[in-house]
Amino acid sequence: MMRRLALSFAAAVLVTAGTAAPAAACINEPRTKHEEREFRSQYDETLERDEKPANEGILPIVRAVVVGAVGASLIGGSAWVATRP
Amino acid sequence: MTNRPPTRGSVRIFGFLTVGFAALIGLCCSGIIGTSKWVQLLGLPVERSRIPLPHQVPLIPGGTSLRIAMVHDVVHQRYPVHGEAYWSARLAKAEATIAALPDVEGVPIGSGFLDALDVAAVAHDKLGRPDEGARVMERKLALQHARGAPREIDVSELRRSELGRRRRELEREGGLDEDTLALYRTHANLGTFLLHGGFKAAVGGDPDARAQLGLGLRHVKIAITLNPGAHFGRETWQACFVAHLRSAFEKPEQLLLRYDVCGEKLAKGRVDRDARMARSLTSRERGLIDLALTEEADLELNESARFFITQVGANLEWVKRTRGIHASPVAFDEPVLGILGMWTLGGGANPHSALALGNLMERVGQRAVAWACYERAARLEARFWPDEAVRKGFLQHLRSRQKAIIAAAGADEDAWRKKFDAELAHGLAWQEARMAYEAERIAAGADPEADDFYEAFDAEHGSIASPPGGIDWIDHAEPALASHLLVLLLFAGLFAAGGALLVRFVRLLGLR
Repeated sequence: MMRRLALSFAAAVLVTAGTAAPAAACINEPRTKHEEREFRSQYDETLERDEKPANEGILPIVRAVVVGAVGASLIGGSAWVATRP
Repeated sequence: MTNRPPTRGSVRIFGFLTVGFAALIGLCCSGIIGTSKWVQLLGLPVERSRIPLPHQVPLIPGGTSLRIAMVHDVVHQRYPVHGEAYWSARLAKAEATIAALPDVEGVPIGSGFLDALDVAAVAHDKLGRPDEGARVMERKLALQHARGAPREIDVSELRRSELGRRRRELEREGGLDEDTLALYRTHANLGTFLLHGGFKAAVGGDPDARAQLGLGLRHVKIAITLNPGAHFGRETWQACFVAHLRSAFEKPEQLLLRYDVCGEKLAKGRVDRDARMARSLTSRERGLIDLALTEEADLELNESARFFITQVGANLEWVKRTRGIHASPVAFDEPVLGILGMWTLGGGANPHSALALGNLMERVGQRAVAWACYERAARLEARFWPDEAVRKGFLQHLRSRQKAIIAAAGADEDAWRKKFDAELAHGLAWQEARMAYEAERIAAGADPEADDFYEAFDAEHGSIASPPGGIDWIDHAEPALASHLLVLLLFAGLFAAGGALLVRFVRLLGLR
């Protein structure tokens, strides 16, 4: 209950502060840059470039084996058929 | 001359050569047609990688670049804010510094004095006294004028191309000198406090307050002229924001219910299925973006890489009405970062900002984030505009966009709303706890400007930011080399088979 009240209070404070300052603000004081850096640094965690997205499993490899086998068989078979008298 | 039957050997050689030649044609044909599409068609193995989207390249090398998680966090109040105790303590410290130093025209004054004036003014504003903050900044400006700072700065040529040129110049020169930087801060702060102090009365029709708003905007424009690259261009967007709201004093519904604060038309109808954060990129363009993300990046390289980002804003009708400095479309991350900066470091949550963020996120296909922005805007509806009819239209727009997004995503709106409530409550609770911590530590005598001031809080509560995840990247699939070779082999085999059939056919006819 107390927690809910505290949250409502915080929301009310924020809303009131906003009503008093309806236009957007651009403040500048010596710590502004530090605060900007702090905000940005929280999102510095980037995905590793070599982090690969999920693979499609074994199916592409099976298809590759089939395509390779068909291609090789066609070449071999064709050579055999064409060189028969 | 008699026709001798071909020998067994010549038949074999003819057959072998024909098949070999056909296979060679097959290789050439597949090479000409391109093997990549066949790799895709046949579902052969591909090498997958993640490519950074171009908005990861900052406008200025080393500057802030957007992560979509930032938008999500800001609309859920998941960012640090300071409380009353913090600003009171800093005001007291700044006033002590000001009192201890000379304040006489002509007497050399250190940057510490000017900095203290900035802190005092900002603290007054944060404590709800923008007029007091403006007075402190007027005093600072008078001191700077007495020390030779220019009194007249021309803002008539404030155009985007001009700002870009000035930014490049500053980059080459190694940034602003200390005096210009201090002057920039004075104008930026003074403009902001005048806008804060006058806005409410200006919307109510008070002519003096409207004049104050005009003066505030002029100071912001001077600040932009002096330092166009400051704070990821936040002042530029502040000027647009104010120009947008000032233009809405007459016939507000024609502007506020048609455009967001950066001049992007408000979304209508079905959700755009083709909305993307960048257009599809060639391998050369991807290479350019990669290069711009290295330490070798410079302003020109960054500009080239950022060319591929989806452009937004500056609709012609909006430009005519606002006569703002933002007169041509820009990469979507620029206004987004500007709005986030104003929200987190400036005036906090605002229905206009939430609407613009939602509209821009929808424009670039970030539906869930857009929905949350619209939801936040709806919660702030009472502060949108004094006119009830305008507020009603605003709410209708938000609900219709949310409905369209839910329909497009096939989602459960109640589940999304529950999640939004939980995240907003979490963000507000974290901010409240941080402000309580500030008050407790300051009461115990700690210095809020000390580097280790938040150490204990951070250790206990951790960061409030969401992990950026993979939203700012695209998955890219490049056919593996082996897959290309397999396609070549298949084509060679198919053509060879054709060649073999031809040989048999020729023999059948007895031609060879």
